[in-house]
Amino acid sequence: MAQDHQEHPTLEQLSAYLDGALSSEEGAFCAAHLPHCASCRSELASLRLTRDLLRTLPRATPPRTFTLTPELLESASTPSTPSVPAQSATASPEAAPLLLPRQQRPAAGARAGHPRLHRFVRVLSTLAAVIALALLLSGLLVLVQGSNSSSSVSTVARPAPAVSTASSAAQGGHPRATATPSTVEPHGLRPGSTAPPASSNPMSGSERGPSPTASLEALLSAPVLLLLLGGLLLIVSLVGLLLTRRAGLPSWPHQEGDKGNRQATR
Amino acid sequence: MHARPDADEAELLTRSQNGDVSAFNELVLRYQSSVYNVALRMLGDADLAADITQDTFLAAFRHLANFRGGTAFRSWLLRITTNLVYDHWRRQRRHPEESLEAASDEDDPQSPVTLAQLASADLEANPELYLLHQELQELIQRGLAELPPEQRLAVILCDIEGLSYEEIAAVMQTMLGTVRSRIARGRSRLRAYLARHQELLPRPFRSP
Repeated sequence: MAQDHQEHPTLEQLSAYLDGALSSEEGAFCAAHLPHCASCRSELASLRLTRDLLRTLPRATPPRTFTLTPELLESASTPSTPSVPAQSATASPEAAPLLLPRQQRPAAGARAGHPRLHRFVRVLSTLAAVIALALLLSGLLVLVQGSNSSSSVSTVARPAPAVSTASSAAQGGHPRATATPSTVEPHGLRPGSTAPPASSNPMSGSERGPSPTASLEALLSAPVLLLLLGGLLLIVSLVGLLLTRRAGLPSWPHQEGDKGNRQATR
Repeated sequence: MHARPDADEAELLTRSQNGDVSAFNELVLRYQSSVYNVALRMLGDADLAADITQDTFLAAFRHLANFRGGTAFRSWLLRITTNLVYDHWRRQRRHPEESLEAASDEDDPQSPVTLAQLASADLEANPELYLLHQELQELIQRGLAELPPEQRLAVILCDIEGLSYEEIAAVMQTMLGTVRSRIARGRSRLRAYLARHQELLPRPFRSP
């Protein structure tokens, strides 16, 4: 029994020795060393106690069964989660587990509501898209009518000249603009006032002016407002559609049409 | 309940890879305890652990094509679990207000009990012992929470889940030497933690 007290096993070796996970050579070295070295024996003993303590932890019983249901599969059909290890993954053990996970999931407990939420968002988005198109179309119509009657033909889709010609457009935009005068006005002021004041006489008095000029102002900005609102809504609805599509839902039939429309209106 | 990679499992895996959910659910039943326990010990939170467990199986089912044998299915699963746990921590780091654990360390010293008593099965028969055991569990869980994640994972896989060093290396995608060192450092650190709280420990665990 050769003895080499002078060289102690490392902490790693002692720990692995506990598990019988040393190479036979290292194992023999430990086995030979320990009987002669009290400090290593106590080191080993305390490691063993620690391990035994860990082993007293009972296995927890899962609170439920985690079998996959159709609902679960549907609700969680998110795009590929990169946290799944590729079988052939090369090294980089620290980096790999930190790959992006499920940002799509806002809260851990919210999964149950996902399918409904998705459907809701989709419906809302479509609705928004439809309204947006209606707004855009009516805005364009108003503009076209306005520019026709004032005989400046060239500018259909550009809002700034539209303001200048909008005094005549007021006739065309009348029903819609009077329908929502109070909400239209504050928004309508902004595009109107930043636009080149070609026919600015009514605008200057419109802030708290008499009712005729105020309503005129509302009418003036109506087509621009319609276009703006339509554009905004369209963007929102497209975002909504894109999001729900990214979540793996059946691709949305209107989407391409919407895109086309948006490009057309620009 | 533990992994025994047999022909039965290979067949279940093949069927699962062909989209057979019921075959996959048999694998779920087989491994949910392992997955849940690892998540629970890593996180120290039962609800979160349940979420992670569910997500593990969902992700596994969706990416089953990536699994090509070679490693054990359990190692692959636990690797997904580990990734999800890390993901959770990263999200938590971005929103730290979500996790404020109040850990009160002041407990009264307990009467000494031997490990043999603790390990004995009829804890339920002895309420006092049972209570002590509960407290001991909490102490160990707090000790685990003090370990750096890789050491914690290595120790959990080794001493709680009973995985071999080779399996742990597969889960952690690292080399045997690294596994060995993580386990050793984890145990040593836990030992130090327990020594700082040894008045809470049963007698056999107090330093001589």
